[in-house]
Parts: sequence; C-alpha cells; structure tokens
Amino acid sequence: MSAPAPGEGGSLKGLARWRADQRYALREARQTLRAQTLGTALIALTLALALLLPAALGRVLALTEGNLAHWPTTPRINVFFGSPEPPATLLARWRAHREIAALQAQSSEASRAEFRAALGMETALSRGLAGEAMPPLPSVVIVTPRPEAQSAARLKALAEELSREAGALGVQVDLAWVERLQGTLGFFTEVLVLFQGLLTAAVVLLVGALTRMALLERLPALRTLRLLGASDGFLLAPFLYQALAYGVAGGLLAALSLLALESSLTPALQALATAYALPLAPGGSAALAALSVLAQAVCFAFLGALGAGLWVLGRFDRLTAPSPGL
Amino acid sequence: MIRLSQVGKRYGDRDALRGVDLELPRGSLNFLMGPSGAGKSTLLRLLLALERPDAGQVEVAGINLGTLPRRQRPAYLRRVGAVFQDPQLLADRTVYQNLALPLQLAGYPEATQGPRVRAALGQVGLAGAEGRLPWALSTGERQRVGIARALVHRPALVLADEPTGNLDPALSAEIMALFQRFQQVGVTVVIATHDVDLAQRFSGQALHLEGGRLVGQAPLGAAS
Ligand SMILES: Nc1ncnc2c1ncn2[C@@H]1O[C@H](COP(=O)(O)OP(=O)(O)OP(=O)(O)O)[C@@H](O)[C@H]1O
Ligand SMILES: [Mg+2]
Repeated sequence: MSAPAPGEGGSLKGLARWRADQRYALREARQTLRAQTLGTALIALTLALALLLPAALGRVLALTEGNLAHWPTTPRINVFFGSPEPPATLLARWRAHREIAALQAQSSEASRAEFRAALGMETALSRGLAGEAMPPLPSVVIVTPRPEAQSAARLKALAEELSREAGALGVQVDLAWVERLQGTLGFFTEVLVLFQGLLTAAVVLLVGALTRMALLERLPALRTLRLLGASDGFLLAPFLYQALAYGVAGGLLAALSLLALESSLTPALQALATAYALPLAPGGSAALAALSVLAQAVCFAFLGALGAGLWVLGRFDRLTAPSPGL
Repeated sequence: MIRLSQVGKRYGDRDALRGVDLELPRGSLNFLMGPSGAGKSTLLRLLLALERPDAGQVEVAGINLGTLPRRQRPAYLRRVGAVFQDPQLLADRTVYQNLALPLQLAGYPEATQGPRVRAALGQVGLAGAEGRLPWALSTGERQRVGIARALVHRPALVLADEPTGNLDPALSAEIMALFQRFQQVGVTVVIATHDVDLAQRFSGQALHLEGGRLVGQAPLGAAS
C-alpha cells in the first residue's frame, strides 16, 4: 500500500471526487429508503394525490377551452322586421358596417318554413301552429359581428344600434350561454390556480417536514460527520436524494394516473361530442401534462427538502449540545 | 506546525486558557498534562477549530484558525485526525463504515478504502472487527475504533483527548506506541492525558497546564 504523505488525503480531486461523494450519498439514501419501504410508498401516494387533483382539473379545463374554440360559439344578432322582406337599402348599408362580418337575410316566408321544419310537418301541433292560419312571422336579418366586436359590451352596443333602424321590430342577441360558459370556465380557472397553489405548498411543506424530522433524528450522526470534516453539501446530499426519490415516485404515480384517467374519459367525451355533432379536439397534449406533473413533483420535493436542510444547518450549533472534552 | 501566541479563551467569567505561548514543530509528539479543569480539552478544541480564541492567535500549518472562515473549516478538519473523549461512532453503521468515512471525506477512491480500513484496525488490535456494530463492542474496543478512525486517512495532525482512558495498561502502551509511529513519519501529535507514568516512557515533550496557563514544557523520560 503506497502511503501518501501525512495530510495529503486521497487521490480524488475535482469532478471525480464530487461524483464519488454523490455515489456515497445515493447509497445512503437508498439504504434509508429500503429500510422504510412502506413509509416511502405512503409518502409517494400522498404526493401523487396532492398533484393529481389540480392536474386533473387542469386537464378538464384545457379540454373544455380547447373545444370551445371549435364549437359554434360565435354570437349572432337577430334583427326582426315587420315587412315580408328586410329593407334592401338597409342590407346594403349594413354590409359596409365595419363591425359586421356577415349578413343573412331571411324573408317572412322562409322563417315560417324554418319554423315548420323545426316542429316537424307531421304533428298535429305543427299543422295547427304553422298552418295557413298562422299569423305571419317577421322577416329577419342574422348579423354576424366581426371577431373584434364580439365582446359582450360591444355586442350589446351593436345590437342597440341596429334596433334603432326604421322598421326594426326588435333584436335578439344569442349570447347568454356563451357568457355563462365563459364565466364558469373563468371561475374554474381561478379555483384551479388557488388549488394548485395550496397543493404545491402542501407538497413542499410535507417533504420539508419529513426531511426536517429525518435530519433531527440523525443529528448526533450529523454532528460526528461534521467533526470529521463533512461539508454542508455532503451532510445534506443523502436527504436531498431521498426527497428526489419521493418526488419521482409521487410524480410518476400522478402522471400515470392522469394518463389513465384521460384515456378512460376520452371515449365518453367522444361519444358525447358525436351525439351533438360537435368536433372533439384534443385539449393540448396529455403526455405534456403528465410530464409537467412529474417535473413539478420532483422540483417541489427538492425545494422542500432543501429548505428543511438549510433550516436545520442554520440552527445546527443550537440544536446540538457540545460534548465535554474534545 | 503549531504556533500559539498569547492565546486566551473565556467561558463566561472563567478563563479556560490565559496567555498561552507555544510552538510545536512538525513531527513532534506532545503530551498535554495537568489537573482536571486545567484547559487541556479547551486547547485541543482550539486546535481543531471547533472554537475560536478570545485573545491571541492559533496557527496550524500556516492557517490562522481564529479567522478561518466557516466554509473552510471542513477542509481543515479533513486534514486532522481527532480522537474524542467519547469516540462518537455512528451507532447504526458497522466498524468498517465508520472507518471508511474519513477516507471518503478525504477523497480516497472506494477501491482503496478497504485495505486502509483493515490496516488501521490491525494497528489498534481489532483485526476482523469490520462487520461489527458499535453497541456490540466493549468500551475499550469502541475507543480503539475511534483511534483507528483518527489515523486511517493519514492526517498531518493528530489530536487526542484521553485516548487511553478506558484501556488497560498493556493496551494503553500499545496505543501510545502507535501514536509514536505516526509521529516518526512526520505527523504532529498532541495528546491530552493524565497518565504521567505512561507518557514518561515515550520520547516527546510534556506540556503542563494549570489554571489555563502553560506552566511547564519539558522533554519526557525516554528523551532525557
Ligand atoms: N463549554 C464550556 N462552558 C463553560 N465552561 C467551560 C466549557 N468548557 C470548559 N469549561 C471550563 O473551562 C475550564 C477548562 O476546561 P477543560 O475541559 O479544558 O479542562 P481539562 O483540562 O480538559 O479537564 P479534564 O482533565 O477534567 O478533562 C474548566 O474550568 C471548565 O469548567
Ligand atoms: Mg478534558
């Protein structure tokens, strides 16, 4: 055995030494995790649940918002006229209106046909209501505003402007359900953000508290390690690896659950969309959402553990009583 | 190697050390002696940079320990071997794991750790104890593991506080001889001990402390 000069230390320097220390820390972490398999599983499960809830809600919102864009949600303004046909001069003027994208004029007769078709010609009701005895229906101009004029406020202003035209009986804005849906989505988005904040804090605090407990439990050993010249990084590394393991396990569990949930819900959504003859667009990538959950789990677990580590190291001398003698 | 000038250390209104001037050359064997409460352990703690002096300067290998930044303390500690009064072994780790620790910290590759651990165990008369856990060792055996841990990584400076306190006379003499072998290859050794008779059998110097003052510095038996 070649004896190095006293005080020279080993041959490992720089990166090689860092890697040797990481291997050592990993081995320590693995040993601890293996000694408490059940505890590790429970922690992973808790993390997974905390992450899955907001992630699943986020997916539902993404799907809904993604599809809303494809569904016929463009608001329309119906302007009714007492005359059998809407006034032609008016139509020409409106076509040039800078807030109007498209116009569709419908005569009183066409309205009646549509109404009859909607009720179904065969029923007694339709014959009674839409028969020759039926009073004339108003003619109508269906106005599609330009996209930039589709906000609720501007839509209302436009509707009012159109209703002031001579001969107009009244206007009707097809808007209510869009507003309602958008309001609901907005509400859910706010809830989601709140939820995510709370559960993120929960993950950080949970892993932080666990790490803090583990560190305090090993305080005498940490003190000895310090006396032998262990740096703060060397002391904390096994605990950080342990937290990373919690994060990876919990994150994987959450990510896989999310994918499973999505693949089991998609057929049902597909069926629903088909029933209403609506296209079902995928709301972003499910794989991406799953990956993001995993990344979040790992990051938050690491942050929690790091916080706990710095907390304990910052109070190390107060937490450990000096022993008498050397 | 070690230079103390006008070193003072106070605990509350008690002086644990007062005006200590001392110079210990590299590769010297030094016995710190004196009655209980004289300041032996305090001096060792200053040399290990566990505490800072309240007055004067403590310098080891050109490093001023009084102003050593906290961040640099671990690197300093890795170059020193300390035998603590209570050996402070990791209770849930085997003797091997306990002894491999200073090697890991000092940057010895894993493959070279085994032979060194076994050699150190042999030197303290515990060959074959690698797999045992500290609670399965006698007090004296634990102390010897503590001594092996202080020497296994070949430090430049060895500080020991009552290293033979729990050992029988024969073993004590063996351990002291071990310290002397280290001193002979250039390691500076400082040992606090009450055992004057034992120290007399070695060629080194005695440092007498009393009430925190260095009151005597004399070569020991075998040298005179
Ligand atoms: N942490 C401390 N707080 C207060 N007083 C202390 C502390 N450490 C040591 N002292 C005091 O400093 C003086 C020197 O103590 P020290 O431990 O250095 O003595 P010693 O020579 O090692 O004694 P012993 O032979 O009994 O181990 C003693 O009076 C002791 O009470
Ligand atoms: Mg003492």
